[in-house]
Amino acid sequence: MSAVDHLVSPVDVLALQYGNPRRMIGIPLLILGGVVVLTVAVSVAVLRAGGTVAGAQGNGSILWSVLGYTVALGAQNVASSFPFSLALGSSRRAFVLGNLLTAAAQALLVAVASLVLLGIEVATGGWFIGVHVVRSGLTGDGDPLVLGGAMLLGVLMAMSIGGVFAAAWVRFGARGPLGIAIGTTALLVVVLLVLSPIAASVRPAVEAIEPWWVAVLVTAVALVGQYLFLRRASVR
Amino acid sequence: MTAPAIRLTGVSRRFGRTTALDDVTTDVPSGVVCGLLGRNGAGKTTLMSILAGHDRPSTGAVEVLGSDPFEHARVMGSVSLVRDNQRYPEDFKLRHVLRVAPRFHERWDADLAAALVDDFRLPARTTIKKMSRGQQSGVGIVIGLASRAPVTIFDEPYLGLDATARRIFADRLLASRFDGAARTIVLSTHLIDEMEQLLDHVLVLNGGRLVRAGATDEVTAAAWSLSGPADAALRLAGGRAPISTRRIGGLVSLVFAGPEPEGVGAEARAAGLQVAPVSLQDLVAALGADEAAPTAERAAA
Repeated sequence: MSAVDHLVSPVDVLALQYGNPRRMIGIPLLILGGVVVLTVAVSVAVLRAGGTVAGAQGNGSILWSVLGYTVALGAQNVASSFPFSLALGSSRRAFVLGNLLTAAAQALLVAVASLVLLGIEVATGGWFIGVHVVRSGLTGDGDPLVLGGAMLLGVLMAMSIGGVFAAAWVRFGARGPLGIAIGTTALLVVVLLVLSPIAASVRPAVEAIEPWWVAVLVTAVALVGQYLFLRRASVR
Repeated sequence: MTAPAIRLTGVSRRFGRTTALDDVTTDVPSGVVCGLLGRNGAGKTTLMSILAGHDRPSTGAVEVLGSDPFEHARVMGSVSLVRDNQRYPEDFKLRHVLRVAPRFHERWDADLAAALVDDFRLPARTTIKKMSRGQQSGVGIVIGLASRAPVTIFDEPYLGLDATARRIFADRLLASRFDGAARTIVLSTHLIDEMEQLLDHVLVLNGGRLVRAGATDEVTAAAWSLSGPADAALRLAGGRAPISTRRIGGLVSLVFAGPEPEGVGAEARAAGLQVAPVSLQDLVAALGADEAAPTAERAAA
């Protein structure tokens, strides 16, 4: 009797994560569409009351709304899919790489959907009433490159954060996520304590930091953490 | 001689101060149906996890299909283990499982999976986590049998199954032995009487220790029972130490390890006692009644 020839690949894990398309594709698109519908509805109400929707460019709901669900999605994709993936014969390495592919695919999906919404918003002159939903100052004020990049990195980061918390739970139980939360908070406090006496001198350097640098750093740390937690994890 | 499908050498697994498996050494031949038997907390699930590469021993060596399964992609891909409390992705329904599983198991038999779904009357619209206990066991059986994985492990497949479903599983398991897919099947169960006919090989665990291992008929042949009025039975037992003693009123049933001694049958009949072979279920129950054995608990649970 011999082992099989087929090695479970990260693409197989990607297929597992997208096994239920409603959860991965349907709901995120519903959230994005829901934000548009709700924002337009509220704007109509404001206009009917004699108000104005000008100045709503600071509305970042298109980004925040989808990120909350995406963190939960990232956590689910590890907490419940990891045991099932291994039950089907995946190695931990294939699972982590497949999960990375999943996060990238999800980020691309949301970014493309956001760009489509931006296109519609521009083409309709702000959903026919001049309201800005996607064209937010937070996401580039209509610059498709900035919007696409922000959504791409935001979703990638959110999936990775959810994933690393779930991976810590798989490995260490409830102590895992708690440890990450305490450790991260402690690190931030220490950084603040160290930098506060020299705030004036480091301020230019801090101000020079681009948000996307932080997103890339957090994503990288979370992905490495996910692998380190899962590579020796037992299935619960 | 064919290499064993599974080889365990001095395998122990500890969770903190709890020893779930204690120095287990044995081989499981290739191509057999192997029963993993013992009481709750005996270490069965821990052993199955180690065989599938879902966990690894604290000490000792494990070989499945010739290699350590932990993070060995080819070996892990050759093993199917669906746990009795298997977690599935949120909102997964049966159709999602049937869509995904063939990607993971190269020998997946879609026709068999469809037939099993019909046999077990598994609901299509219910999410798996909302299925009844028996239906969830059915899903696990569908995955295990249809995977045709070279090493297929069933963790308590009978949980919650009705009598008809249990018979279907037994029939399908028997049929799977002749479907041309060489495979070794390991299954844990407490319904030993129902499964005994299907088991070629057994491993009996008690308190994390392997207390019996071998071909089923050899294991059961290495024990005998003496029963009848307590006074006469204990007198005939003499200095032999039973592995279990069961009293009901003035009657006693003693189970002894080893082959039945010559002449003891005639002596027993003369004393109004009965000497009989021990069924696998009685032997496992007797071995589990050993109060000296520590209870191995899954500390990580």
